[in-house]
Amino acid sequence: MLIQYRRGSSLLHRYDPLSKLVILLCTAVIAMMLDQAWQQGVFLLLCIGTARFAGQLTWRSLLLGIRLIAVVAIPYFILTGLTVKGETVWMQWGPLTITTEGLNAAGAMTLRMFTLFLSSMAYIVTTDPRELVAELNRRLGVPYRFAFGISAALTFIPLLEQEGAQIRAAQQVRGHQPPKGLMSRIRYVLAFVSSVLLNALRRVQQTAGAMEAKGFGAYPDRTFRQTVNISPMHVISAFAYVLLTALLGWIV
Amino acid sequence: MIRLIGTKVECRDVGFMYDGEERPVLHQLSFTVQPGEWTAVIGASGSGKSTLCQLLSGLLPRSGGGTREGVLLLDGMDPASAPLADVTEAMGVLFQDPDAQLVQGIVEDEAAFGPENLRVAPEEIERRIVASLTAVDLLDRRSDPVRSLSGGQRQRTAIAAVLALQPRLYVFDDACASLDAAAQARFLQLCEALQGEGRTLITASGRFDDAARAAQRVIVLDGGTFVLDGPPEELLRRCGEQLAQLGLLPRPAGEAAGGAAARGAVAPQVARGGAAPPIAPPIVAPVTAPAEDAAGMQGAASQSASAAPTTAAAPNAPAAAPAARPPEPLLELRSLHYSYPGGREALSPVDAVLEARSWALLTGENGSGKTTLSRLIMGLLPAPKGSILWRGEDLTGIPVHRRAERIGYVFQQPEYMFTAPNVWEELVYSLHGGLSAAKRPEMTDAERSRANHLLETAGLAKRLHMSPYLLSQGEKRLLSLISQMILARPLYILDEPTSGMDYAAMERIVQLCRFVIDEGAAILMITHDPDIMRPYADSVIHLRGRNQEESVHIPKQHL
Repeated sequence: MLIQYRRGSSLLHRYDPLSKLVILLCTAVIAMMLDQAWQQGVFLLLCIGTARFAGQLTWRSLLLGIRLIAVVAIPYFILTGLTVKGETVWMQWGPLTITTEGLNAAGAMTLRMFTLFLSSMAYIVTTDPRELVAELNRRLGVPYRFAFGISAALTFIPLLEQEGAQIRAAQQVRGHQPPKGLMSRIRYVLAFVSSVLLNALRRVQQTAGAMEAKGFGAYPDRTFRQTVNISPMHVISAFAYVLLTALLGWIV
Repeated sequence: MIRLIGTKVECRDVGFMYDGEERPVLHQLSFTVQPGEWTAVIGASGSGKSTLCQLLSGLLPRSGGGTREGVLLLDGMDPASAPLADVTEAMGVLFQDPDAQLVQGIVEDEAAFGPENLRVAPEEIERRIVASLTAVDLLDRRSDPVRSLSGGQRQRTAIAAVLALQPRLYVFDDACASLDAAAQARFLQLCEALQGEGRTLITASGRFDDAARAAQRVIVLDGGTFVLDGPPEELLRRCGEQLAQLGLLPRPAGEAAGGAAARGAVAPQVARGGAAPPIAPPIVAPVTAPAEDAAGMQGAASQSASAAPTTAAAPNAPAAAPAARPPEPLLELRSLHYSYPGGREALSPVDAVLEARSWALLTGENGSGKTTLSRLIMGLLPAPKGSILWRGEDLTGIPVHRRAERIGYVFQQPEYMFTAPNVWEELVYSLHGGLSAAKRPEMTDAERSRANHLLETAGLAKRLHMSPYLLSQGEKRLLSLISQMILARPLYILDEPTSGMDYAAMERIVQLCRFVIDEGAAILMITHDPDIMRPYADSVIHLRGRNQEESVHIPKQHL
């Protein structure tokens, strides 16, 4: 389970969920603003460093995250690199032209994807969804049913992962061989995806019923067992980061 | 004098029909449960118990749809239309499938979820978490993720989550289905304690079990209507025969074989091997052994000794009959063990031998590693090298789909295995591996007759066109079983096939197992019903749980 909250005591773990959310959003804004590949590169390294050392994410999980998003990012890089027009031709091969501007734009966009993905991953891995729900509800007045929706979406990913693993096991047990050839691969994936979706749907329905049976939504508000200690330092640092973002926006 | 704080339940001419169905599941049910009364609702698989529980909770038809008729009142309010807060305070329900009601992911959060919704103060919630997890003996696992628990432990978590609500009425649908003997005994004590507080209890199950015996009143459901109603002792005394016919009590010896033959369900192979013995009666006295009392070799031996007089009349399983046994065991486990990547031990070392044409039970308390062991054999979890031998050959490195050629495996949750739109397609799926009707080879006569025989024995012959998902829980289990048995293989591993099953359905399972054993197959069956299954087994592999020493493999002569 790659993208899932893991208990820990790192700096990011101890940050209160809302200050951390503000920082995450500002990170996204900064990533959207920077348009040079080198700037994105530096920013990505900063994010990776923060996730590794302040969030105690392992190099392995960061690498897995990079590999996951690379499946989308690399084809995207190639396509953008070939299609964005520029003046400084770097390489030409038949109808294909690679320009420095094209490479810069493609690099910036691709690195941005990594930054957005890895920073969100660091947030999810270091944030207890229960605390997030409680804080959204208590401090920001977000209705708890809505806040639960967010947390449910976060917990739904590992759930899908888990259901997927169970179903894959069941299919193997039924003698499904690893597919060979395009058609059988497609058939295999289709059968697998439809089973996972069907089971996930069933699960969502059951969960909704189970939550109702435990009084979910009975009152407009609810209590939360856990309390989150918000350190003034966290709030101040989040505020400073907002100012920094605004400053960068003004400069860039 | 107990203050009766329990909810009063009134049903008048209650009927229910699911959307899209043509026949009602329940009809004309009328009964009243007084505050503080413990009523057991029992009925075979598909009799409508679970539907009744969901009607009581208001979930049907409130969010599950369908049409309800008649009047259903909890302390004068209709659960389907009353404010949710009032309903939740009046009643708490445990549904049949524990996985379907664990919504938070961490054990203590499951217990806290209900009280938080009901605006209980944090200090009181903490107190309830401790009390409810203590009641189900899971306090030491309070911070663990639910998915790291065994099936029985998840069931106990779900029970704790309902306890923490502290409603005036508890409805427990098949709460004991995957609990070990000690946990079942603890559950009964819990029910008595709740009743002692003046709360109302309704427990539903597929057998005349210890909960039904402990209740003040038993209502028997069959085909959606009440057929019997009265104090348990009286029903047992007056209506034993009828209860046995309904599959709620074990059938007396002799009758079962005749009945099965009359249904034409017994295969020629089984008939040759001797008439199928009926399910042995359970030990009538409630299980009182505490968890710490290790039910190991000694315990198992003495338990089977106490069961012996009741089973002596039954002819023994054909598997026990002398047969030419191959000199080499089919499967050998050599200090097979497993720990999760985090380091927690899921299975302590086991040594066991399984021979061809034999039937082994795999028993042990909740969380002792039964499912883990079966998954290791199947290759779904990595086993240490040289720890699993198949006819002397190490299974390491052989992928699951290749092992599936030799081993049929039935999951605890039948739904995971379903891949086809209807019962027939599900059954024959393994024969063609998912080819479309046009491309698959014609079924041979032998395949067709095997398929029909399995369907007949499983009692699913009239369900061919139904979606597997719409079957009752017991039927789903039987379908997942025969979908594996459609291919003859040397070994079948069945993960808790008898969980929550009535005696009639268990008899079908026994017949199916004997059918494949007569063909030469071996069975490894995980079960929490060792007392019922032991007469058929050739050996028992009992896994030791927490605080106990080691696992043991008990051969037939010691059973």
